[in-house]
Amino acid sequence: MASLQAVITASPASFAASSRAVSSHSETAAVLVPCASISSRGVSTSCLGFVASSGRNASLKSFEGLRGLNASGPAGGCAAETLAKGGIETFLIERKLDNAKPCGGAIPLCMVGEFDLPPEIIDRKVTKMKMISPSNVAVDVGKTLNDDEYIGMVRREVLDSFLRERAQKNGASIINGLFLRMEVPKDNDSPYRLHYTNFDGSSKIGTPAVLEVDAVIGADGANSRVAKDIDAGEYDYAIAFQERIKIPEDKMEYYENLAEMYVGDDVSPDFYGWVFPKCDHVAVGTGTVINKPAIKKYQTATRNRAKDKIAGGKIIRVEAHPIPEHPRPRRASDRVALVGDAAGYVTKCSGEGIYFAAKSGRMCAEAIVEGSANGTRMIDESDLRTYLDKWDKKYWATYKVLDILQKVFYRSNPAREAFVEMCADDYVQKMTFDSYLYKVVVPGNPLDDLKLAVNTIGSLIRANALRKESEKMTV
Amino acid sequence: MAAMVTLAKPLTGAVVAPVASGGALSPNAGKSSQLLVSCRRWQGRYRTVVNVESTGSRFVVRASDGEGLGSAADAGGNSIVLEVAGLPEEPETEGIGNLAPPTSSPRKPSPLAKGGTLDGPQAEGKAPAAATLGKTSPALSLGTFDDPRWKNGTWDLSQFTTDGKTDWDAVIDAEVVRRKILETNPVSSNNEDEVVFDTSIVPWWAWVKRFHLPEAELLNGRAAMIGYASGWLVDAATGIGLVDQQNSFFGKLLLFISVVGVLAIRKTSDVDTIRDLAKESTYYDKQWQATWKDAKDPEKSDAL
Repeated sequence: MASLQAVITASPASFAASSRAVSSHSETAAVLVPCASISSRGVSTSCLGFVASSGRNASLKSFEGLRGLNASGPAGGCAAETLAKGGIETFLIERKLDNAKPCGGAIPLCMVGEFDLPPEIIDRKVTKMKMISPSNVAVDVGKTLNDDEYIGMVRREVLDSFLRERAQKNGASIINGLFLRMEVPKDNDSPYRLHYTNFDGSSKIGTPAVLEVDAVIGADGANSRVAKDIDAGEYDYAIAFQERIKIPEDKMEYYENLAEMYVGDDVSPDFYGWVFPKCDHVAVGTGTVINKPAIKKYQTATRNRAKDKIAGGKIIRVEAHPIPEHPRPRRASDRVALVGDAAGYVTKCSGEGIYFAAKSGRMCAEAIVEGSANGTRMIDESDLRTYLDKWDKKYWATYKVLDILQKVFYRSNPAREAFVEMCADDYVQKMTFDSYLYKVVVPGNPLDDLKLAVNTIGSLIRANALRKESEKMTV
Repeated sequence: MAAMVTLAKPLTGAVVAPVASGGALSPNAGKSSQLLVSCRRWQGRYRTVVNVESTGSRFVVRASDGEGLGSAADAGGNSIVLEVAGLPEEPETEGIGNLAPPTSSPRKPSPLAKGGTLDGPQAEGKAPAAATLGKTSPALSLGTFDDPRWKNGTWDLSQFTTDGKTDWDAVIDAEVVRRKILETNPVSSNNEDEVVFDTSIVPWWAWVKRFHLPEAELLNGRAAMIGYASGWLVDAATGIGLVDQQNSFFGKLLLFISVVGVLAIRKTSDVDTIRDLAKESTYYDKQWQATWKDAKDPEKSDAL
């Protein structure tokens, strides 16, 4: 069963590259500040204008122990913290420190424990979910959860700044700047030169600066510049579109700790539409890979399906972002590694990315700490490949299972009807929540698994039979 | 500046007529400049967008009329939202190939047009469902689901029963109609009338009788015809009788292939379907392994 989180990460400004200004009408300062991704022309004109007058160099430290990190969502924050704790000099470059990134915002229970998140970060604890099929069959999911199990809903700006500040407390330096590009060194000892625009307040549009580091972790999200600079390759991506809607109090009570998932051809041809409760409003959204231009129609359809429950609401924000569908062809190159969305670690079926971003940031940083013996010697690509190897071994099964679920159950309307029908089963709910909340693929009882397999096939066959019959109808 | 650049890129079919001189916005201007964007007709309605205000670094786009983004089923664009961000419209999607071809303009295709590793018509994807486009057959678009036998979110089986025997075929037919209507005209799901119908209330033998048996008959008929014809031909050609044909391993193998073939391949397009399925099942694995292909030391991850 799919879990409910759809993660849409990284800066909205980078998405403004599309000719349609799906802009969040909020404090995105990127509008006035030349953003690297809008057009390369824009960047070079502003850079050229200032190169003459002092590019400010970061003061060179000794080569051992200089690392750079790019951008900071959960991946960057956790990586920086681990690096700093490991005694490595870490720089974290973040464009907008209070950025409210477009995101579904759901985190699994294990993340709270593994990353020591304080309870104040979690806005809501979702303990119930409703899955709604194309013909509006509604199934309640969550009765197998015990009292202290929940899915945490967070605000990205709160989570990101907490992780960043914790990294800073451990010794990482936060640079408020916009990463522009990176110069790859020719040999194994020269540093990487990171060109960025420093918003240190001395000038309204920032001063260009250069940072020299020994290794780079690209944690800059789906439109990663680091990935581009190391030729990491392209990935297929979904466009996720979300509207935040403030609904009346009595309707908000229904969503107190309940999230909804709508499936259907009208809502999305290969994903789902969702209604997630946030701190004081709901986020209604949908996404698609194969038919991106029709995303607004899918969004309207999602709103229509939830119409009765969100009537009278006011849209307070619109956001959209690409979500990667699979990892990039190259996730590490020399002394640069990608983590999080930049690497493409978003699961299929549920679109979950926050936990995997944080975990991959941590694992990559651990590999670097180990490979460099706490910052005393230079690393090389094999250390980063250790991280890739560990990651693939640990989470490959999770990703593959979710891929299979997506291929089987998001194929067509009958498959979705079968999917919702299957979710009514207690065993399915238990297995799904166990694997989602604790990120372990549980094998379960073989007899129950067999029964589950038989029931799944039965549901699929019945739903497809109904569909074939309906095609014969000439009504 | 950059703001104007982004919004002023002409959309296909849109005409931008900046009212403020030169279209330049000084960032410190406290006043608003009007940007009138007239979009081409979209679903029969003429939409004017937008009052673009630039106050300092804020960039607010507000719709001048209270209308929503339009509605596929035309059933609720107005009812929910009182104030909507007016977003510039896109041309109506009519399926593959109706978008501006990326080759004609040197401009990089937007994230909405390109598909990552796919390009061209494959990136644009398949056409949205008829319900999404608002294209439904006239008969069905008139129909809303309204059946007296539907009670409390499921079918009232007592209404299908005569003399203690339930007519499962009628239940199946009713459910088929319900699903068809709802798939072409999706309705909002609400909490008062929750649907709890589950197809497993219809017993397995009803499904078998209705769906499996006719198809089994068909397939067996095909197999019998092919089998008899080929058995006769082999006998005519080699003189080996039916029983002796199957005694050899080769004969058994051929028999197996033909049985599986009849089951699996019903139309010629099934061959392509099977091949695509096989490719699809390993595609994701290949995407994960891609990073190991150019590893300097060939340390392949054993998990994959």
